[in-house]
Amino acid sequence: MEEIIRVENLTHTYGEGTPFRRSAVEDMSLSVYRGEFLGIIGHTGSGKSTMIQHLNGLLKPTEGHIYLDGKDIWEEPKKIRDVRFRVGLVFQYPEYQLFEDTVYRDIAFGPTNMGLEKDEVDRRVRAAVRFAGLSEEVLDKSPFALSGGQKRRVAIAGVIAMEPEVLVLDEPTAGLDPKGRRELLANIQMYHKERGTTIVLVSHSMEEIAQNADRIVVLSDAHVLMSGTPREVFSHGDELLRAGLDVPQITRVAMALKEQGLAIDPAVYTVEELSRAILSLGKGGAVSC
Amino acid sequence: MSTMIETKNLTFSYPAAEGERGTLALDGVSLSIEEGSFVVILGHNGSGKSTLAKTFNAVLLPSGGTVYVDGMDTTDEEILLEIRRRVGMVFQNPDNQIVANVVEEDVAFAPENLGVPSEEIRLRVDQALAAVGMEKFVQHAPHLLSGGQKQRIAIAGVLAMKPKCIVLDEATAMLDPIGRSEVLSTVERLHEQDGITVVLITHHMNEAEHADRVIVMNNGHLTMDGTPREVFSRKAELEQIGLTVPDTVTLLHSLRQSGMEVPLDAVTVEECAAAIMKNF
Repeated sequence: MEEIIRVENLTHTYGEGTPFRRSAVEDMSLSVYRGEFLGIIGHTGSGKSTMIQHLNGLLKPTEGHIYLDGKDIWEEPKKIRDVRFRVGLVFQYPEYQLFEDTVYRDIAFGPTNMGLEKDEVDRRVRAAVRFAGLSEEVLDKSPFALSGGQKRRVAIAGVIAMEPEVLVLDEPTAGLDPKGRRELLANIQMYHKERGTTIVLVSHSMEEIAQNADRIVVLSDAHVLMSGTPREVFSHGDELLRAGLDVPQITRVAMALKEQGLAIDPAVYTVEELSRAILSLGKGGAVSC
Repeated sequence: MSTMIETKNLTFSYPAAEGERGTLALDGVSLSIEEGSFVVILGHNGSGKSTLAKTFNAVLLPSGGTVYVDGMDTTDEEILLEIRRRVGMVFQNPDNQIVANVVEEDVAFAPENLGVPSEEIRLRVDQALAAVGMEKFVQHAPHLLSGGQKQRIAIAGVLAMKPKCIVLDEATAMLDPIGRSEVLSTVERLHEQDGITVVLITHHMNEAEHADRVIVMNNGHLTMDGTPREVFSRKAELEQIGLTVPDTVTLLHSLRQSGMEVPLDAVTVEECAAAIMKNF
């Protein structure tokens, strides 16, 4: 796999020189590979939001480096804007950042600032609206007249319209209802599959990460605690719980069954897998062949 | 048991834009919440659940029907302060509800406005911060705290009013699992030890596990009302209105379909595992 972003020995300290000095990220190294769907999990204060704000140069490392395609993004600080076009960052609660008088103009803001032709901006706005799961009818409306879920989609479309190589989303589904969450994730998956864009998804929901990510990086206390496929990561259920993280509810059921003597792999994380595993057991709970 | 909150044929519509019809966010809701109970209100975005919650302490006043808080009509402006003192509200976004530059001042804001003597305020602030596990942050600046910590400060601010009822409007939506379970266990403890009535509005089905009662809202109506077991056993209906059931219940449905003898209402991880173990 080809690396697109490399975080190398990153340290970020807030409040340097004050009594509140705190390193949110400490000597952290990790890679994002081209075309992957990477999930990042970690408890509040684990450093995940701080870390991802380095990926497009919004924050400057206190120490360490961020490489995009092998090049240190801070090598030429004047060109940091280009990095922001290539690595699109969707913040938490992005709907609070809408500001234009129509949805169209709001989504067009990014691509227009990239200096693109009007026709190209128009193409991108329409494509982005579709990927975000909105109909073109909303384009003429005021973003403030939309529902919370729609506003969130407009904000995401605004970043997608820049057609970044890497799309970083910080808890995009927070506050949405189950249907809204499912639909938004399906849209992100569709965008990922159709365009091959690298996705970095930060989420608190283990279920969400388990079902969508190819690979997971777990952050804890400003460090990388572990990384791997969902199965590898959830096989360390006890360790995750100790780090103050949750594991999917299904994994917890599997862990409980294992503890009570059933021959169940505690790393399963979907309903279908666990259901199949339970049904394949013979009387007494041993695996039937 | 006396009634903490009672709504009678409550309707609410948000003011319409010019030339448009107002949408009826609440359409004839009648319910009563017993003092000392733990009630979870579920519903998809736009179902009316937050609107309903906001009528519980007169943030919103009924367009039709009535809301009584501890027997007091919320439309009576004279007793507005008394109503808000009884029912404290915690909202989704902590950044919108923090007013001071120092944690302890923020928590002291409400009792100061209620004219509580200063020694008593000191006591209440310390107790409230201890109750949410934030006693170490007394002198900190709220804006430097994490989202979860801010939310616990907001809850402490409500606690300092010594309310009889706390309404949490998706107050855990922004928190991580540990922050969420801290807030939930704080709320559960306040409910159990101090008998505070809790109304918890959420999208997270498993937060309803430990409630006495689950109310489901849809299109401004109350569509389900029962224990978590009763409500979550109605899987198909819940899915139809854009909600889900906990994965434990989905697992049990899947096992039942394959012929295994399991109940469909074992909601918690422990209950679910125990129900499955009976087959081995």
